[in-house]
Amino acid sequence: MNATAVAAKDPKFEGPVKASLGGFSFERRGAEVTIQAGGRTTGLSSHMFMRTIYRMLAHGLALGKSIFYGGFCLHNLGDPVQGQEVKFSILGSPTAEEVFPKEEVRRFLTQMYEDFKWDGYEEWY
Amino acid sequence: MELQKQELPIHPACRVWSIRPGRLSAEGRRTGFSLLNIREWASNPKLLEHRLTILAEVRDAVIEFVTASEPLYFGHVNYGDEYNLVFPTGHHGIDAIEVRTALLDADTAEVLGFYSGGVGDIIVHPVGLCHWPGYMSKPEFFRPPSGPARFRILSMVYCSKGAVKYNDSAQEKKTAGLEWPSFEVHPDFADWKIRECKADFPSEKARKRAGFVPLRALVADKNRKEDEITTVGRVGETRWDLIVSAGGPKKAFASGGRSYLIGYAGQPRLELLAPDGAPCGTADLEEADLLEIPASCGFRITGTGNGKRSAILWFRENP
Repeated sequence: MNATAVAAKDPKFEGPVKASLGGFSFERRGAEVTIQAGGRTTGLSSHMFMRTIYRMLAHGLALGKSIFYGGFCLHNLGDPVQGQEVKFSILGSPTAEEVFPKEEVRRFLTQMYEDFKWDGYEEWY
Repeated sequence: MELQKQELPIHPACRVWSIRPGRLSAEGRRTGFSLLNIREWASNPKLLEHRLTILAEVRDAVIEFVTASEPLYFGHVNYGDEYNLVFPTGHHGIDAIEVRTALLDADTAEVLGFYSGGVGDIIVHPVGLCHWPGYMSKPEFFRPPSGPARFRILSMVYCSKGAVKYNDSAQEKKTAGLEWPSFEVHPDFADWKIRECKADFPSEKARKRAGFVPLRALVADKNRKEDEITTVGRVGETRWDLIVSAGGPKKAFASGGRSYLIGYAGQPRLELLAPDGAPCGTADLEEADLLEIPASCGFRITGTGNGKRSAILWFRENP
């Protein structure tokens, strides 16, 4: 069975929603999320972005390095589980990266996840 | 008074799974053995998908389980080798799907190649590379399934808890290889539809570290001896062994530390052994049963429920 065969109904999106941490800014506009930092821009579908953020939080940001579609990376520095700093980066050049305390990242991602939800968004589990 | 087992709710995306928990005798429970059916556990409606949960731990290694009805939307750079087994669900339709995993450069996300195989084989996510199960080259065209189009797969990962000194993928002689073996199918597995696993890695960087274990071929091999141990994975100070048996030789197996058995195929019937080697109970395993064996205890395969060969995976510390 092809998972794309029966697609979810197109969701209804409201206006753009924004969030930023340090030099990294995130914007959900309809079905797309755009991430900007250091003159770099990348993007991916809102659905994939939200699912991935949820998983990062569910794993306590303790997954080591994770790469999103589009090249945005979240990297738990030092000990992959116990490390207390998290690096945001966008793969490629020029370098776009910044390190934040883990707790600050946790709070930021949790709030952004809530703010970026759209009407009818459902976290399937 | 006989206690009635309570029917547990099942997630709708697991509705077609075959869930048949095995049985552990009361004597076994008293001596510290415990039994959990992974399919039953994983079909819990409240279980979050794509969240790995540790269900077995030996020294510096763990076995985690996860379910999924959507592809993974991120790649992961693991900090030790991971052995990934998409575990059969018992439903022919689901178990026939193609399982495709990409390995990527951890710094550039360049795709280094793909594994493509079937449910029931083991693939290695080598340390230092990014692995991405279900990676899509054109994700923008993907729409998530909805309602009855959703079905869950069940996946297990054997890996380290943190960075370890020993990573098998970095060794000259690895447990996993890149070639599918030629073998004759034992009559007990004649109804298995075995999909060949392929590893297509043009990149030398990935080819050096990648590998898969053709688990279904090893189980179904006509020339395989009963009760013979084949190591199918090594992480840190532990190993993952395969034993196939119909209960002929009745060899005794034991580990110094705590260990775990996973029912992979068939219905193995076990005699449980106390530290002094004396029988202390029985376990009738079914597919996806996870049996915890206390330190210094062991087991013996005495037969099978259907008279055919059965297969178990044994997670234990290195002897």
